Amino acid sequence: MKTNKIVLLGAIVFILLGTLSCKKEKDTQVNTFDVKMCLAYQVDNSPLEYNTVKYTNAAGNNYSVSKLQFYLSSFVFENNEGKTFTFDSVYYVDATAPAQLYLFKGLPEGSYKSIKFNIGLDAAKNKSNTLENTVNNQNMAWPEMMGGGYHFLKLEGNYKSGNEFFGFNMHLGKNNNLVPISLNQEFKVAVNAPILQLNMNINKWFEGAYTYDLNTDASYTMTDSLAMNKLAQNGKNVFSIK
Amino acid sequence: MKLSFKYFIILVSLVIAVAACKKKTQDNITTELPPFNPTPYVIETPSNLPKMEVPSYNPTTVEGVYLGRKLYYEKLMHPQGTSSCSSCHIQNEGFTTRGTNIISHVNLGYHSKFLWNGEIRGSLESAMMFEVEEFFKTDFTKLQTHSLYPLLFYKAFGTTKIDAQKCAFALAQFLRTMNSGNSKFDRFVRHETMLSPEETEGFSIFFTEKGDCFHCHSMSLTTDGDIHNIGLDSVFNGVNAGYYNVSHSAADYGKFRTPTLRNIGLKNTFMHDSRFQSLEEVIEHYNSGVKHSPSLDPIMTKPSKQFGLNLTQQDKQNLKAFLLTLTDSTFLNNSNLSDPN
Repeated sequence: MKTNKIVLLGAIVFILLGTLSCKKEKDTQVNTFDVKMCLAYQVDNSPLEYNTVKYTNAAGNNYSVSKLQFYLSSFVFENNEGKTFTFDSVYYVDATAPAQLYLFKGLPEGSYKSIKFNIGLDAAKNKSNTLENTVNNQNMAWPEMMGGGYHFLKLEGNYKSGNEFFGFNMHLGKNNNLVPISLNQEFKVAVNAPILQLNMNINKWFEGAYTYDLNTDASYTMTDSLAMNKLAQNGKNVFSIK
Repeated sequence: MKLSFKYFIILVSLVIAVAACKKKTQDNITTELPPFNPTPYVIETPSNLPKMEVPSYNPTTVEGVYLGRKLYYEKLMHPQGTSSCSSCHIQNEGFTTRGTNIISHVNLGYHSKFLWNGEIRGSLESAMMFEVEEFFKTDFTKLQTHSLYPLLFYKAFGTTKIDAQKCAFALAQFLRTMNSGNSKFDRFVRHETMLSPEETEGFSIFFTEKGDCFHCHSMSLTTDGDIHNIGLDSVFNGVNAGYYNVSHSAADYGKFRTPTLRNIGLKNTFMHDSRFQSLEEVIEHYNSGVKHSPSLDPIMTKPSKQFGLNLTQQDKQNLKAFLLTLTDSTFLNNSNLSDPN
């Protein structure tokens, strides 16, 4: 009889605790929303137009852009409470293709203070045949004979030198040239929050840590570690949040 | 009254019998058709080929692929019944015709730009619509009245009515199965075989800056599917203007789609206008013949390339040796791609 009473009491306490804990969980439940992001491309304050030699970089080179392809990866969102939310996906971007919306699912509602991500792929992913075997990823492959992995960036176009036009190929790859981006600007995650627009300013690739001159620095970077390193340093400032 | 009831029963029976007969006469095809139940077709490609995207509006089926294959070899696709796709795209020549600029039908399921100047864009279905409607101008009544095709279309698409879209869809399904991925190069990449020292040197030239072929002829399709001006001309007239003839933008002068190099060793004419007659001539173009123009692809104007690749005679031979490893006899002899008739 006594045993029965103890069992009954235990059950009641267990149920009560369970109920309370459920209630607590309900009280602290936070709404989550998907963050929508889009990318835009500019040269300083003008929208990027392809195949027209109409832009001037810090070194005074007149240039055009014909190709802009890159990877974005390792997104980390940090809210004002200091909590971080990491996304492991890799995004291949062809800037000349129709604009896409990038979705980051299930972020808790609230104010956020930063977005961090990489232009390129971290060392674990930057190995040949690591990414899904798609046509785009194959086109971005960095041949194994040249070290393997993938192009982080292909920025190509023409520039004017004297009265002649020459091509430039700003190709970035190799682990030490990963470009970490840190955007410290407050934004909200909420119902009907506006789409987060990230702007890439092409001119920033050629200025900042180094003023990159297409006449004197390499106009083709893939085999030039110094040139790639300069681009990678400058690249930290190419993105901003609109 | 008893008699009239008997007549009534006979009359009703007759009406029912006539109605049944009438229905059968009107619909004598559909009533005899089996249930529409196409079998999904799994496109199997070697591991080094990319994943192929198949549009959801035209899923690949056994019946669709078979119909596409029949149509590929069907001369009734031509209004006069004189030629089929296979008349120009000959299997043992790499689904092209030696001595012509006819584009090889190989690995086309990965592409989104078609024809030499890339003027047809979108899916393979769009390209096949062009072939059926613009190139062949197929007379569908000839297929519609054929003893076999209405049933084959029914099995593939659930309807006996034959039109341009269904022909294009069936052809697209078949073309997605025309994949080359078992050349010596493929087997080398998959670590299944070794290349000779000469081929290995050529591979190295191809996939490094020395030749820098790989940026456009990218692994493993040996084409990026995009359009480029590779410096064949500096003045652009007629067909040599390339994608300019479509876009009318000066930036597109001389741009043509990067051709696949698969089975290139079987060919004896090269480029959109067949201007080169040997692989040696093609290699020499890149080595010393690139012509400058404002729309020249930036890849072609790298400092080293403005003065040519500086390949030695041995380098050129090695590069050619590597290119010959792209011949895929499995593909050339694949009985699933041959004439089903």
